[in-house]
Amino acid sequence: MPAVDEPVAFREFVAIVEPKLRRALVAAYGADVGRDATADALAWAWQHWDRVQEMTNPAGYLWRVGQTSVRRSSRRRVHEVVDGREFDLELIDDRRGERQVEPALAGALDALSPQQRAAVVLVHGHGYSLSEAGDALGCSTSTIRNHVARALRRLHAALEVDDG
Amino acid sequence: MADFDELRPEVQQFLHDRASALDHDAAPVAAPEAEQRVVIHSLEPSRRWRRTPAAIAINARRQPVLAAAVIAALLVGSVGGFAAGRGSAPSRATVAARGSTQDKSTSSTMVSNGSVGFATAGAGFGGGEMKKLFARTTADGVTVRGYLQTNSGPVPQPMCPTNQWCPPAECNPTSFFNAEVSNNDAVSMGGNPVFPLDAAADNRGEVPLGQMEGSPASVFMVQTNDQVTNVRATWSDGAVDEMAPVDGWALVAHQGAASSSSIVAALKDGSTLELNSRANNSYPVSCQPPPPPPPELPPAGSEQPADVAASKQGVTDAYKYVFTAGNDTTKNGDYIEDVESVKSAADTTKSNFPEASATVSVEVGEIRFLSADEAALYFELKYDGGALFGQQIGYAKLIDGHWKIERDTMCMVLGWGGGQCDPPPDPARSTSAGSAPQPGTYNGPNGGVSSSSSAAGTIPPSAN
Repeated sequence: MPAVDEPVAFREFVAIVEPKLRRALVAAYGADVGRDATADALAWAWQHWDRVQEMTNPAGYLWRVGQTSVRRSSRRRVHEVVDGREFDLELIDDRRGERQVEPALAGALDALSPQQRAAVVLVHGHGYSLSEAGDALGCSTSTIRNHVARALRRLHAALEVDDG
Repeated sequence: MADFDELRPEVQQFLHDRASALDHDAAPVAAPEAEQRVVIHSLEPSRRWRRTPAAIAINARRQPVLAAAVIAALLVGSVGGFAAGRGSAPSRATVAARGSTQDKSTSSTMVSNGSVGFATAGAGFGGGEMKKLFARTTADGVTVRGYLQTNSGPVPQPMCPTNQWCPPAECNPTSFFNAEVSNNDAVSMGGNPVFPLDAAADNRGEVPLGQMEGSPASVFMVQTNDQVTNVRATWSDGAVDEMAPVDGWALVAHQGAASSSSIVAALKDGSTLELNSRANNSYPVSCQPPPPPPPELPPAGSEQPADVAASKQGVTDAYKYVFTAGNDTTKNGDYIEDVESVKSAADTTKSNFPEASATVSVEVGEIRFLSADEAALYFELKYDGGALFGQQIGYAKLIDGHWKIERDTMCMVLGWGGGQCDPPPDPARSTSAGSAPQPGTYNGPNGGVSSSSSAAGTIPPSAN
């Protein structure tokens, strides 16, 4: 039986989940790729709404769906090059508006793993709690803590800070 | 050791600025956008069953717009597909239209309520024990392990509306092939239901490995029948991997980012079968609903050619010549009406879809003569690197004693790939059938929008 209130429920779900999902994915993969992955993940959620509703942490699962989307699009780009066709390779370059406190920081951030990058930007860029970031990335608070700590270690290293 | 609590002010400022910039650059995704969005590739995180046709049917009503496409269209996508055609799309890939129901990729991606090989088996499926088929390590260090698992629980059956096409029972399989793969830096899993084969062997797709870890490897799952003795893959860097299938499955792998150039199955009778290494044929054609009936050819005219057989051959020859890759395009003028007026459009289409141009072939069906010097016919183009649009109606004219493809038909075909004829063709003679886009609706090889949006496909002839 069609559930006529499903679109409403889905839209409420999007309103809640989308910000942290998008912020996590764009932090990890850049604005363009990350937003595209967010849209893919939410489209997937709509197509699998029954399952999503039963998930204990749908945002965390959709983060993984978004990561899969990024991987797929990366592989597509490889194939496009192999085919001899030219396509824009979306590089992570979202540094507009940043004060150039230390140029090495941008490179250090880009060198992090996507999970570390997302974790540190969510926690220290957006001010998420470890718990909130854990929900967004589908992992535990302790995992987020480790990601953030490792990320900061590498960012500090870029500043030649003695963190020992 | 630095802790996240010991945050340097400059790092804090940098991260805050980065977060603000990202918020500014990445606009929110609204629910309607998600509801209308079409994804052309599997997005299911690994380690899950792919959803079977039954489950697809159950979820059909949730697809955007017309569930009207009914289960039949749901189950495939190759029929309801609008057009893939992106250079990035796998060869012969098909995607559902924006606003349509289900895309082909979904059939290979969706996940059942249960899982196989994991402790989280849910309602509907019961994961049985995995039978180990093989384990081996390639010469360059990729370890592949194949397992076969058969569900112990009930398998949901398709919910097919009365009088609608329903997939055969074997399209709702109870067994699943699991691929567990690893290299020095990464591990991954993939799999595919044990669907019926369309041929002696089918490439069931790639298992992603090591991309995110910076140590990419290429792994292909190949399903075979018992006539196949060996599966051999060759990559663009010259690497080769091969194995004899075990219980109908083989995994061939290579460490590195090179793309595969060929996958060949060797059969007992000494013959070989080349598999499309870039097409993910994870969902068999035999499980897809039949294409819609083609539109009717116009009625035959009262006046017929003096030699019908020779005229039919002439019409066939024209279509075969133009729509067969590799023929000398400088002679296309012998087979296309007013060839000069379509050259620009042909160049555009060929540029947009070079792979399709390089692989195109044609099947000519019934030919009906509308008069002594004009014919209507069914034709169907096949190619890689673009969506297939199935059987179409084309026209041919007898000009100066030679049967030629009518300009309107050429413009229709070229329009699928973005070539626009000037002046435009007669709509009455250039209306595409089925899911093919109509002239003037082309959105560019990438769809003109995002990477996951619908796009027009193509069948570029070699009309230069």
